[in-house]
Amino acid sequence: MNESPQYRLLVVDDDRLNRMVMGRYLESEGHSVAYAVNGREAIQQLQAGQFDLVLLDIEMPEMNGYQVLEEIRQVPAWRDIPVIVTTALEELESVVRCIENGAEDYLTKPVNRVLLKARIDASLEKKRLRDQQTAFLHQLEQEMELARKTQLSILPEILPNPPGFEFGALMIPARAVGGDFYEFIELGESRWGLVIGDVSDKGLPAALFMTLTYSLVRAQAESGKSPPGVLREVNRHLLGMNALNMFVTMLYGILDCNTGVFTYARAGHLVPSIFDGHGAPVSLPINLGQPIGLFDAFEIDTAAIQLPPNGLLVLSSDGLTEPVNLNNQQFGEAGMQAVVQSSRQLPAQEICQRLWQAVQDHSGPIEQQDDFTLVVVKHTG
Amino acid sequence: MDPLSEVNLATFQDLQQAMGDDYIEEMVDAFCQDASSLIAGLKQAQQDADPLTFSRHAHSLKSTSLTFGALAFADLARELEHLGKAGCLDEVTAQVAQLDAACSALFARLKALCHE
Repeated sequence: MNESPQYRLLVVDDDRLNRMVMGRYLESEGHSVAYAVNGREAIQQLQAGQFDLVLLDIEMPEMNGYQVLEEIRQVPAWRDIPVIVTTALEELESVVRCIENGAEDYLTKPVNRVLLKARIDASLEKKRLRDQQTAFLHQLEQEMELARKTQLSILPEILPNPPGFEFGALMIPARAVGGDFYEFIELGESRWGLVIGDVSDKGLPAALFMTLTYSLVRAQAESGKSPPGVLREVNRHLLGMNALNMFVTMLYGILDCNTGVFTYARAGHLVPSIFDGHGAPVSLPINLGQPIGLFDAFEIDTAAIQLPPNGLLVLSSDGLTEPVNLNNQQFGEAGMQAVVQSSRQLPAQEICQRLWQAVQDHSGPIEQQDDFTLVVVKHTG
Repeated sequence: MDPLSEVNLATFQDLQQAMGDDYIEEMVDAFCQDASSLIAGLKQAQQDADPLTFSRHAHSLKSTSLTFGALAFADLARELEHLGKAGCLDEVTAQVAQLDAACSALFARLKALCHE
């Protein structure tokens, strides 16, 4: 008993006897066979039904095998169907041309039963593996798209809009999902918690670690702890659930919208950038700060700064300053400062977009390597 | 026996075994019909000075006769195919007549083999 899976094959040959012989062999192997007597009929059959493999004669009236093969390779739905050309022994030049044009294999006529079975089985097995790979990739893409949407849904949909301040934010992951995040947490009494973080590595593991970190920060911040208190608690929790030895750099700060003071704690993350009302950078005190997730006792840099009237606060990940151009030059602090200087009169969200555009212009053809994350706060009061 | 009506026994018997007795008879009947039409087609194409159609008919005749092991018949059909491709239709009359003349003996031989 033949237990091989049944495939649907199309035999294209203008000679009735060739169709009879091949059809008989194939049906005895358990395949379902359809026939076409010329190229035009083959195309009609392909349009009407699905086939796993085509056995294609080269010399045919109306539309020959070359033309059919060309059409099969051009139509996306047919492109992956293996084509085995059948030809006379002395026509090997035609075979070469067909193989060059995408035929999977060839058989000489009269067709030998053993060779027919061997070539068809090999071609169908290759197709089965290709189909499996395509289905797996498709499933993976769907799952990554869901992960991307889930991750983006974590980010705040609505920007804070307290009197005297204007917020902007942008995150562009380097892959479908990323390890960067930002968040705004309303703490009451005109105070807003601002978080920006960057998980080591990229892709799915970083995204999962980011989601975990995000939940911890949110829970700790809402409990009313101070910025360093929040970071220490997050660190304590992460150390107990960090099998992959990942770490995260983070900055958590509280903006008091009544006073314009931004009090922050920085764990290995980039120092915030402050610009005065004329767009000039304001220097900040910098102390040691270590990432979260690595050590029980770790250094945190803390500071409190007054946002100047009409000034700007910029929190970013290294995806803003580290992208390089073809000369291996980073966009850098200078690049960022130049864009901020020229666009500081624009709305905060527009400044974010200008900075992203400038990074892309700087990088040119070089693919994005890091997640790009940016928070801009304008002190308009 | 006209060599053109000779059939390679091993080839025929292999085919018979693979196809089954009933089906090989159907195939021989189909060949007899098709070969007669193809030879008529050769004559018409020669008359129409249409080398493309001529070589295509000769190609089919070659391919189908080879299936049964009619090797000499197929060789002559191959020769005609090449002459057609070369556009030399004024040199084919004798060979077409030879094929035509060999047909009845070849058909009879194939039908007889079905019952051996």
